[in-house]
Amino acid sequence: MEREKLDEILTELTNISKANDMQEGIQLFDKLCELIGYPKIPLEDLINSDNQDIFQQELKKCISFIETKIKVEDVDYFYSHLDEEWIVFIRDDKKIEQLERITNENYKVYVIGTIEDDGKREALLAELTAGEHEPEEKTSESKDTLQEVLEKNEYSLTDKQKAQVRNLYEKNNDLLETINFKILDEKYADLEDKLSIITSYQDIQQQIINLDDMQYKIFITTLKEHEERNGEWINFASKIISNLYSRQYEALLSDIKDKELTKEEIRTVGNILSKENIFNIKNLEEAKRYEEIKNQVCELIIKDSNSKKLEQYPNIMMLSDISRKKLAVLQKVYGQTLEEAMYLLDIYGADVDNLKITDENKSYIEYIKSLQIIEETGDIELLKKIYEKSETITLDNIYDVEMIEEGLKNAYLETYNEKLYQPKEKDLLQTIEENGQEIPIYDAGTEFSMSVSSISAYVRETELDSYKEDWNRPKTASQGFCTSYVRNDMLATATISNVLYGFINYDKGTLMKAGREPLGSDASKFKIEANFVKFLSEDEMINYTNQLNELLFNRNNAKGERKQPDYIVFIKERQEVSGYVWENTKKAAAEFGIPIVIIDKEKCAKSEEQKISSMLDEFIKKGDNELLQKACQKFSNNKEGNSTYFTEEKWKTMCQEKGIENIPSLPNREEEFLKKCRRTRAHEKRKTEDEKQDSEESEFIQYEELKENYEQTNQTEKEKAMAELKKRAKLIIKMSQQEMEGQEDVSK
Amino acid sequence: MSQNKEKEEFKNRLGQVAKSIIEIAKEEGLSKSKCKTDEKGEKKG
Repeated sequence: MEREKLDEILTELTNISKANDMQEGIQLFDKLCELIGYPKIPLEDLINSDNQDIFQQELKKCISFIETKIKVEDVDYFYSHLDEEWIVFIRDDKKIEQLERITNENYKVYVIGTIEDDGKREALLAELTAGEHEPEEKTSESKDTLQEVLEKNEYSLTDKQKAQVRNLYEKNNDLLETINFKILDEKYADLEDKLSIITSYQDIQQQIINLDDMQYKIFITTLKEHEERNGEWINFASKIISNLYSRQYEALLSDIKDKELTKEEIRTVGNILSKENIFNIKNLEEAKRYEEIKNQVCELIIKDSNSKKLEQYPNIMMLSDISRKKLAVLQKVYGQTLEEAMYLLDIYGADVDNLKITDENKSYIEYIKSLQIIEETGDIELLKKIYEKSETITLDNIYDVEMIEEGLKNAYLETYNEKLYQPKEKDLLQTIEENGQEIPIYDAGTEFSMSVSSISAYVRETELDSYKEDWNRPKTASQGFCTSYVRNDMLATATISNVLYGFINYDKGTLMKAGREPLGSDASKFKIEANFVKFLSEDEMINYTNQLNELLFNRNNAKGERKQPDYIVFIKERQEVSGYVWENTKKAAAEFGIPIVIIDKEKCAKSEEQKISSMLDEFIKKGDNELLQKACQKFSNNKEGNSTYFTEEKWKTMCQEKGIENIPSLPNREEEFLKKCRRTRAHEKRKTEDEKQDSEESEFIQYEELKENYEQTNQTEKEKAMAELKKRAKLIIKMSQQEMEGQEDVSK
Repeated sequence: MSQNKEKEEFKNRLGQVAKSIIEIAKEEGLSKSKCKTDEKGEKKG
């Protein structure tokens, strides 16, 4: 196979990985098969199979086929140019070689998990997780090391700085591996309360140290002001530092390099650096005139979005005509960019309609809905109208995305908090004694929701010396912990190879990320990174979970208190409560002094089967198709967490036994979720249509009422009523005609 | 100003702006369907 063809194949593979849905992916796959001469699978078979696993298997076979066709000299080229997503499909030896390329630890674990050779897989997992849960005792050796470091002349630490290091070391035993002692310089005194976090990350320390004096002044002034206003500082600091190193601001930073800025000027430049440089601010003078420039450019866009004058703003020029207008509106009313709006809609917009509106979250929900209107509309007149009114409806340049995100996260968190299982007296099974400690054991029953975290999920049979100490270990680099949200009808968790912690009553501000599938999050970064983040309310999270959902929480609340487990969950798979996990469960419960809650998986499955059966009976009785869909969804939820009990075959059998003829297929959760996202994006567009329809309906109701009155009135009244009736009837006919014409226009 | 008060003010202002946009979109949607009716009415007249 020639290199040129190999490049074509790599491009096609990239296209497949970027496909919007499975159908598009299958069509692109078909193209790839043709390109490489791989025996084609009938497209219909793949599409109709409705099973992503079959498609995945075909992809794997196809990659193996490509691997056999590559020239020896091109082998390295192929693997090094292959997108990360494809690594899971390649052969084991190459997968292992490519692991070095992967920087995200969670993704690495996922790839290792796909290695077919059991021995190699286990060895790699053990290697990866080695040391992760080593006892954190402060041995004399580690203390000596700290002492030695403090005594070293090369650091020339003052007594105050030595005390600072000791303090930081108490909170983080890995400090000596990451701290840059220059960060203890008096110059950075304003960062003192943030050092326990900052010193855990070498990159962020280096970036701060590399700032020149003026840049540091801008950074610290803007950060302090933001923190006073908002409370949050990590995301904002990350943004400002990243912008200080971004080419977008090169001209501005070069202009101020040798200037002595006043406090007000520092604040002005900081304000510019806290947002995307969409108006191409190049010097201090322009920074001072930011509002004026912004208003002029927005005005220009609204009047003539193709004006030549806009050519000096590359970030605006790259947008389409209508997007420029949307940007102008967003800038005028909220002082934000289109990109920020898209980001917020993508992460928080899919399920805002299912959030319970409270005084606390109403503004944030309405804000997202207003963004949906602006983002979705194709109506330039509407955009102009909002723009015209922006003089009176502006946020006055105080847009704070971190505050908005916190408000939305809290709104989603509330849907979970109010559902989480709390042990009740009536559920108490027995009390046992473990290590001199009385431990109550509860039965969760068949109606519950829980937030659980599997400890050492990827380490087989590793007993920890102390669970409590391990959880509270003095380390600060990993700011978050992963949990899964489970319910009696969806019990998908990460592998439970040790203990499962259960949590209730999460503090506000502690939910960091959420998604319906593993996030591939890396909580060990200064600013936590994750893929596939989509916040959903608790019910929808269950309905769309793919493999397992993931909610990432901050280990500490705003007061710096570490979240502790509220109970240990034991999922009883078979008849007996025993074995390795059970022993660890008792040990952990005794150490924390918390109860054990048992989930009886089989009991739940039988109860769920009964509930589904009743739903089907109800459907047969009432004939309401929605009831059948609900039963189908419930079965699918159960299947996601217990696929051995809830099989497709079982679903068909259950329906057949009830005499249901048109048995709906179990939903393809991936496709359904994409549909949901698209639906939400089109939501506001439809709402306008609905309102129009509402007005038609109200005309019709009034017509019916008049007709009824007419029957009951005397002859003289009847003439008047008849006139009114005719008027209404005409109006309804006219509106229906317009509706039809409108539809024709659309189809044209 | 205390942090909580500042957060509260920001939230309220954000809500007001958002509400105004939603109102404009509603009005615009409704007036459009009305305009359409009027236009057609005139043509027919």
